[in-house]
Amino acid sequence: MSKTLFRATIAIILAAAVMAATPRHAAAPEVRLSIQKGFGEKVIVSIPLFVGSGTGGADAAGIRDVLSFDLANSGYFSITENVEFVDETEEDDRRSGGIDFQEWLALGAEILVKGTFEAGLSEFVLEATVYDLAQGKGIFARRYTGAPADWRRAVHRLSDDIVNRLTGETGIADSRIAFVSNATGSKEIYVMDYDGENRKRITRDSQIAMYPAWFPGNERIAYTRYRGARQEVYAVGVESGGTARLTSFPGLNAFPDVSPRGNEILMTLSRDGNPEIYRVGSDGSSPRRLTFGRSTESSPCWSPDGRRTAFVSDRAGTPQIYVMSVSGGTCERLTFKGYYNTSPDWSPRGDLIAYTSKIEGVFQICTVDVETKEVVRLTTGPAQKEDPTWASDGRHLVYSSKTGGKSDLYMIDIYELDPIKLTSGAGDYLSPAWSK
Amino acid sequence: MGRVLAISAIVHVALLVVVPLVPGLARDYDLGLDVYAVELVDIPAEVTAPAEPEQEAAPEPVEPEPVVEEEAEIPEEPPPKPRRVAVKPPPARSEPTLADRLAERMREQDASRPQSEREETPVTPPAQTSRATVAASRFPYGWYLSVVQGKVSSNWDQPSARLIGEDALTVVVSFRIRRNGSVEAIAVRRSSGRSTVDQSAAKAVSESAPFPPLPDDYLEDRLDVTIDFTITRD
Repeated sequence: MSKTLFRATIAIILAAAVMAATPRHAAAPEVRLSIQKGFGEKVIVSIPLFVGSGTGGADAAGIRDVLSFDLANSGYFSITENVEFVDETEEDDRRSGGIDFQEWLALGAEILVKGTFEAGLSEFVLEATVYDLAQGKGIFARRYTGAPADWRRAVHRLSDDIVNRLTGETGIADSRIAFVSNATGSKEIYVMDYDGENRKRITRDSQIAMYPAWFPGNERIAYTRYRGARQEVYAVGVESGGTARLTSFPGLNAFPDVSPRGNEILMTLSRDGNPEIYRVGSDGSSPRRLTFGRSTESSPCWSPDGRRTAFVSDRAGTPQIYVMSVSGGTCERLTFKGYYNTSPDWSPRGDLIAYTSKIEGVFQICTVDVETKEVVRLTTGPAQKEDPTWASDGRHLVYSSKTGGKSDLYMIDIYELDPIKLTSGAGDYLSPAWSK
Repeated sequence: MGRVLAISAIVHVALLVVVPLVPGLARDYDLGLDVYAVELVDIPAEVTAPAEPEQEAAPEPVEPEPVVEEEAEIPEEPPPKPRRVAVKPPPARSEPTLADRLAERMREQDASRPQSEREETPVTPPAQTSRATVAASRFPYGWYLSVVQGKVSSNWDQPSARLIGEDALTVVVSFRIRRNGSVEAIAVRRSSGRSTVDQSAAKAVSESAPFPPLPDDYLEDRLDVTIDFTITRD
């Protein structure tokens, strides 16, 4: 009797154990989050000094500075600030030869980036591992090699890989910005890294070069060259510096913008009288006129799908932003606020157009939603801000800002609206174009 | 009699142990998600600005060789050796997630330190905290949830509660994230009663896609997410 009951008990326990081991019928794990205010969470990252040494400009502190700036600037991460504690925890790790995940968690971090580097005379090698601290596990590891002078670029690549793996977005740290500067006396095209470093002069025309626009692939830049009273559109190789003339029609040849596929250019030509929007081949061939009228049409840009253009027209009496198909046809007016709206640039995400708007006598940067026409003002203050250009993430913009007679370039995150100055030194910095 | 009582006791104890383990039985008592409120800390991002560029000396053009990128092995980490100070054991899978731990730490901070001493605490005090309700027991990847929450809230073009004329409105939106980070099945689970608010929340989710690929060691091929979007009149 008792034996039977005992067996029954064991049987119940065994049956239950089997049932418990059988997976719950396949419901996906579910999480619940709540959102109340515009402020989103950020992933908190700790970046100890990378282990390494060497020559050639790269050092552990510099690498950490670049990576911290890149990750924080992406908008998705915040970096643990208490460097003293970060360094101390890292020293403990080095002593023990392991990673004390608990200690890193106690600093408030969720993600840890550890790395090593070798800055040799002929090569720079960077290796980094990204850890999920709560899990005590690596998420990914990667190795970068390049020329010693390219050490910042290797760090930018690492940042972009972290942004991509951890957010699903494309990072912008390895992008560049073309711009115009008169630092040498004449206006020339330059490029720099997106953080203002590694400035490099591209054109040596000793004339006036303006309005740079990148070809896809970021190896060539189209721009407007002033030769005496003439304006022509040229292309220049970013590495080679070699130039080629694309258009030289009578009158104005200006404001080129290269199509997403790279096979066509939108620009402003006045060969038929007043300035109109044209679509030409990427070698300057077969111009096709898109706008017709007595008003001035200018500053065209491509939509990211290559089907539409946004441009400026004064057909309503004041310059305003319009949108039309690149096959021609009717235009739709987008901006109605203000009496001076110019220099549109279409977001790579397709939803917004950034532009310059004169508000109470000062040029400010705004965006307009292509669908709803809702306008958001991004900048304030007395400086004259112009020529916004989108990063490929559709989140950051660079524009020129003129104060005290000098123009510099600033970067702004459209969600955080805290501009960062990118340029300094003698001369003006104008007409920025972010690489694609 | 005594023996029967003893056997009865064994059976009952066995049942008590076993019943909560049986999924089919437990389901009846599962009233939904294990939802608990935690404070996720948002440390202010004080960015180190890039060094001032050199004065205008025209930079020598350097022919950059492309940076080569390769996958590297994640180094095998030996388990941490005992420290001078006793430390808690490393977190097991089933242990509280980072979010819980942070919440716990903040409660400790709140309890143990008066406001005025906050600035001297060794742990950076959070400049701003935002409330997130997380049911993370079966998805213990705090960073992933921070990214989802962060992306969706920055993409939420929030209608003004004042214009709508309500004190507070909540819309509940659910969606599914696939292994590659893509999103499907966006649905308004509980309407706020205002279609503009409902649409704005659904749009915030669709504009945030793609999310990051699901963590490699997370074995399911999808994750179901539900978000409560609340707007309040300030």
